[in-house]
Formats: sequence, C-alpha cells, structure tokens
Amino acid sequence: MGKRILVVDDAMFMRTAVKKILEQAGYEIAGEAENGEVAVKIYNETKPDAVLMDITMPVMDGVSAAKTILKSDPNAVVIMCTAIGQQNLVIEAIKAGVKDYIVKPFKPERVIEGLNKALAA
Amino acid sequence: MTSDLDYNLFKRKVKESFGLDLEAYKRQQMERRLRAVMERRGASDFRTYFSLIQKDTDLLNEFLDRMTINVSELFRNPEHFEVLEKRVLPDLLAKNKNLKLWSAGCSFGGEAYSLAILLDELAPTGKHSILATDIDEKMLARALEGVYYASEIRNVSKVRLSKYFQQTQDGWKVIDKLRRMIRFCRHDLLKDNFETGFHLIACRNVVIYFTDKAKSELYERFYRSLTPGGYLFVGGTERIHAHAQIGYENPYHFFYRKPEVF
Amino acid sequence: MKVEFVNPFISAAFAVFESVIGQRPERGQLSMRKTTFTTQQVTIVAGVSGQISGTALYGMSLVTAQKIASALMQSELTVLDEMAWSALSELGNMITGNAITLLANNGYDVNISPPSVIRGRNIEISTKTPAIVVPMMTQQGLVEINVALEENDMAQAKAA
Repeated sequence: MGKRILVVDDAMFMRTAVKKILEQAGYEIAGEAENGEVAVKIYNETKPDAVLMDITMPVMDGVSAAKTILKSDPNAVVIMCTAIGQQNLVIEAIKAGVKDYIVKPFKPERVIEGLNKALAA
Repeated sequence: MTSDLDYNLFKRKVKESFGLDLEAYKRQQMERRLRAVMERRGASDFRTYFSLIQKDTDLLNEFLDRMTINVSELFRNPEHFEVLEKRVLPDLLAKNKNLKLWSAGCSFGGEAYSLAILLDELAPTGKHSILATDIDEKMLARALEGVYYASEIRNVSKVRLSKYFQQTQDGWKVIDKLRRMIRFCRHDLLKDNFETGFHLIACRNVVIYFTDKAKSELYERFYRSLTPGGYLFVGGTERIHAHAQIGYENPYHFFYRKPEVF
Repeated sequence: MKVEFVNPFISAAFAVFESVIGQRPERGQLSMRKTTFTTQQVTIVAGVSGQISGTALYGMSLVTAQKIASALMQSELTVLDEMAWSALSELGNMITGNAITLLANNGYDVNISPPSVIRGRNIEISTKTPAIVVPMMTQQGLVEINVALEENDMAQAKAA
C-alpha cells in the first residue's frame, strides 16, 4: 500500500496538480485542505504519513498549521511547498520540525525526492 | 557636469512630481546609469533632464526604463561591464594571452555573448575559450540561436550592434564568429563537477533563490575553479558575505579575485 | 515608491514565466499609472504587507488569460472555469511570492496575501501609491505587471 499524503494549498489548481504528481509516483491521497485550520482538522482525522503544506493561505497560514500539527505529533512529516522562500522563514519552519522546504515553481521530481527522503528517514 | 546640489534637487523633484524615491542611488551611480540617455536627450545636468521628463511622458517612460532591470539583456548592468572592460580583462590579458571564461547560469546567452564581444575587441588574436552553462536545455537552445529582442540589446552600442549582429525578422542575431567563441552545455551548479583553470567566472543573478548555505558552498567551489589572479563576477544586487574567509579579495564592486601566488 | 521595489517583480515574473510556461517574454516600454485606473479584462491582484506594503496587479485580456491558463493546465481551454481561475491566481501567487523573497533578501520584512482574480471590463481600482507598469510581452499576449508599493516605517509595520 502506498504512503498517504495530505495536500494543503488554497489554490484548487495547485492541489490538483500536486495530487496528480503524487499519484503518478505511487502515493495515495489521504485528503486535501484549502487552509491551515482545515489542514489541522483533516490531519487529526486521517493521520496521513506526510503533509505537503502551502504557506500563504487564508484563515490560518501554513507555518502556523505546521507548528500546530508538530506540537501534537512531533513525528509528523511536514514538507512546506510555497512561493515564498526567504531565509528566515525557512529557518523558522525547519526549527519547528518541518522536514523539507520546497519553493514554487518546482519540478515534480523535487516534490517526490523530498517526500521519499523524508519518509525514508 | 552635475553636482550634489543638482542631484539632490533632482531627487526631490522626482519624488514630489512622480512619487518616486531615488534615495538608494548615489549621484555617480545615477550619472553612470543615465549618461547615455541624458546625452541623447541633450541634458547636461539633472535639472535640465528633470524638466524634460516632466514635460514629456515618453521621456519619463524612458527614464523608468533605465531605472529598472531587463533580465535577459546583453551587458546587463553596463557600468559593471565597463569595469570588466577597462580593468578586469586588461589585468588578466596582461598576464595571459589566452583566457578561459565561464558564464555559469547563462540563461539565454546574453552574458556569454557580451563576454565574447569584449574579448574580441580587447584581444582578437587570442585563443580564448568561453564556457556557457545552464541547467535548462530550452534556454541553452535559445542561447545557441543567439536571437535577441530590441529591448535586450538596449545596452549594445551602435558600433557593436553593426559589427556583431544581423537584423532578422525575429530580432537581432549574433554573427557566427561570435557564436563560435562559445561552448554551450548543460550543467547543474548544485550537482555537477566544475572544470578548473578559469580566469573569469560570471555567475550573476543566478543564485538569487539559493539558500545561504548553497550559495557559500558554490562560491567556495568557484574559488577552487579559478586560477590564481582569476575573478568571480557577481550580479547587481549580490555580495559574498564571508568572501575573505573563502580567500577572495574584493577589488571592485561585484568583482572578487583569487589572489595571485608569488 | 522606491524604484528598486519594481525590479524583484520583473525578475520574478520573467523567471516564473520561463520556468512554468517555458518561454522568454519580452519587456515592453515602462510607464506610470496614477493611483486610480481601470483594469484590463482579467486582473490578478496580490497584496503585500509588512515593511513594504501595497499591491501587485497582473492585468491581461480574456484571450491572454485563456491562453495562459491553457498553458498552465497543459490542455486547450475554450472556456475559463473555476480551475482555470485558480491556475491564474496561483501564477500571481508564484510571481508575487518569488518577488517578496527577493525583497526579503534585500533586508525587507514582507509578506503576501492570497491573490484574487478580478474579471470584468472598466473596473476602477485605486491603489495607495501610483503604480509603475511593466509590460511583459508573451506568446500568449500582453501581461501588464503593475507594482504600487510604499515603504512603511517600522513602527507602523509593527502595529499592523
């Protein structure tokens, strides 16, 4: 059975594109969320193997959501997937326990490599 | 030609009339940046230039054009290429007849062709090699074609344009002689090995999204790929933070040099 | 507005276009816009906040929007649906996100808000500062990048 991934992004287009990339690589989709608050809720409901998290979202941003998830589950595998890539944000996310930080636009291989690596560890 | 008073007044009037803040630009910087356009418009000082751009929207737009970047143009940051032409290359040519150059992250080739033009002008009999690499095959293919939009050759003088380019229906195309000076190939700065023995490595505005760690590793690898006395040429907003620790000297803005060995 | 605030948007827009759509746009003649202007048929609007604040707007015709969405979704679209608008919004997000990364690298503490897509002719938009307009000529048509930003003093930014 493939590993189950929660896809979080406020853009439907992005969620669809990422889901396609994941499915083609043999991953399963645990669920999807359009903002950080929904992401936390669905994380607790579905307990995915990993989360791909956008940052810029309404209601609750991705870094806050990642921190919330990691607080309740320190072993959570969270990978940020965002258009904003400033150094201090990357550091903040990694310090919070995020496993990888992917900047958009990205090549599909980058996401799969990142997931494979984070899940193998 | 201009004075601090003249320039300060210019900055103030531009801010009042257009809401544009030029505080980041020193007078000499602005002079270099606007020299060609001010000459073309017959303005010998900033006061005159302001009155021109205030009256004529096209001239205002031309001013805006000069104040902003054009990512794939030739001689990007022409004032830096002037340093290259007048100081860096002559220094290298004084000690080496044949130069080995690398345009790392060459994109559509503008930088590589600019280097080729300078070498052809300064040392036409030398057997130079210019390596131009990029991670993206599509960009390399276009770089090989060597065709540029009018907006991308805005920094190329009329003389150089007539000497090194042909006008085609798709744009300005580099002549074969120039293309033959360059070896284009695919290369990943983060993964692949580097050649060595370069007199100049240009890596400008390529690593803007790299992490600090990746950047410093890259600059260290460039250091090892340079010959003693060789230069690293970086982009208009880039600085190497721990350059002295890696071993670089910083003789001119945006140029770092590996010291000679004696 | 500081003129140098515009460059990151130019870099980002061209880089994202090359990367995502795979072609090299041409830069057109710059111009300035007053604070109130009418939109193109499709405008992607992104908010910037923090030490620098204001709006970045990407305007284009409906035909261009259709062609760009088609390129993003890698399929020929004849009608723009929810997914296509989402794709265009994401394009705006990528350009603006990349641009503020560059601003952050230059020492500015800035953030972006999720973009909106405005459709309709002759809609008037008012920005706090005048905008610098950078036309980007692409194979899909003209995209106008409008940048209307101002620097805030830190006290203001912290209160925000």
